Amino acid sequence: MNESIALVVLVILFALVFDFTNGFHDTANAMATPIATGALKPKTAVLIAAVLNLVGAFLSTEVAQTISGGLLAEKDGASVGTSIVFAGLIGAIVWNLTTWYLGLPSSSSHALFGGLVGAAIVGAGFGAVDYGVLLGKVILPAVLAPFTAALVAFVATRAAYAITRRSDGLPDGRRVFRVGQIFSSSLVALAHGTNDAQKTMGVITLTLVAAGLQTAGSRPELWVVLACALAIALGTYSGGWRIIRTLGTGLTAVKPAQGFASEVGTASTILASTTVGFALSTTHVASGSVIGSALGRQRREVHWSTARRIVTGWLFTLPGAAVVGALAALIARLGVTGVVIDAVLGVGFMVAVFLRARPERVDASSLEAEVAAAGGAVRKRRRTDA
Amino acid sequence: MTAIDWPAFLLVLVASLVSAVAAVSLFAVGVRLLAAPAAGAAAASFEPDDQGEDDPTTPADARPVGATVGAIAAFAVAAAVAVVGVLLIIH
Repeated sequence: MNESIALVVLVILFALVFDFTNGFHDTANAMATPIATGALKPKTAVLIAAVLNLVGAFLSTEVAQTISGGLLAEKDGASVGTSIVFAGLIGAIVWNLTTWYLGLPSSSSHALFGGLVGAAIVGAGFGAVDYGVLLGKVILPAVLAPFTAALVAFVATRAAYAITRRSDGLPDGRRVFRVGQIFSSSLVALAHGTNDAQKTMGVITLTLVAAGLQTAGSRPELWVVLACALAIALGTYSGGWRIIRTLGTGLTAVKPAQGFASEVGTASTILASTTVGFALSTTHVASGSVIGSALGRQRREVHWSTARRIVTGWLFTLPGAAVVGALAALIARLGVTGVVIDAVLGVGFMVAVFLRARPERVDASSLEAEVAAAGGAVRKRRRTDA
Repeated sequence: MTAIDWPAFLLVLVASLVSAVAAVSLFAVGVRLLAAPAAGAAAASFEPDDQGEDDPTTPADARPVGATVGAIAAFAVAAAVAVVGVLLIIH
């Protein structure tokens, strides 16, 4: 009994670590474009995102309940145990840290689902996964969400430019869109908190149910909501600067009107999806919006090589995390020793990635310098023109 | 196997398209009104930035009062659209 309690504690700790990586991996979704246009200073942006993620986490528990009682089927002889959830979390964390190191905005949700599915198949057989839910609630939204967001952002950007365009040569006032961006990106951060923090709440609840500490189908406990909210907020505040750089400057040079339209597109797609119950990848939506809004401008410029790199990351996220989750589940089959080996390997991997990333650190000040350099080039050109 | 909920996908597309375009258009109308020129302003007096992406608004004291009021109204309705969106997910 003591062993199983220890395992539950270990799973909760790793789930919170995943939630933290989820936070810093996804700061970019809301804050890459306002930082890129200079609407918000990097430090201010991540602080706003962290606070709104914290608030968002308390707003709803619908998605958490979908996860704790949906994806993994509790059928005869194929019930999902605590060690399987643990192995799945290792798969998700390893994948999230790898894509963060590469600066790829991949989906934290897919890493989580992939890890859990891989671990469940190895640990409890193919019958342990509800493939209908996997296809309808995870894979299809994954394919459709970026296109939906891109279309929405494309039309919205067109509208924003068409309405504010002037033919008389007088100033068009588009600088005001920077102010708008503060609100639109905040809306995205809030939407992110409502959707993503709940995924970890779902996993912890799933563990508590599997260990017999909570009745099946009940809502997440208050301390679970509180812990997840804090973990994702702290992760968000620590800022995934590498991904912010990719999304904010790697895909296209984002302008205020375009950034505003892109963020409103992201927020509306996430909010609409949460309302109908899709546990959506906010990352896919944000990336799709940035590309859609770039295409909506007359001076369209999309760095398709970066876009291809991002999409490749998406394609591999579910299977990649599934393979790591499956391997971890194989090791976990050794019993207590296996779980300990998994934990040591998992922690070792986290430490190794952070150490490797240190020499080429991307942080708030280096990013601010990049944005300022881009702004300086524009101002200089203006002076020469005049 | 759970059936795939196709109407839900369509609903997400239509709802997000309509709400985003409405909010952005309203905000853009506000921006356009804030840039309403003062009577008699000449185009030649302004040197636009290199891409016409980041121009300032007309100074408040030179702008027609009607334009300022209209802009504030447009921003308020755009904000209301966003608030309704957030209220929808709070259960």
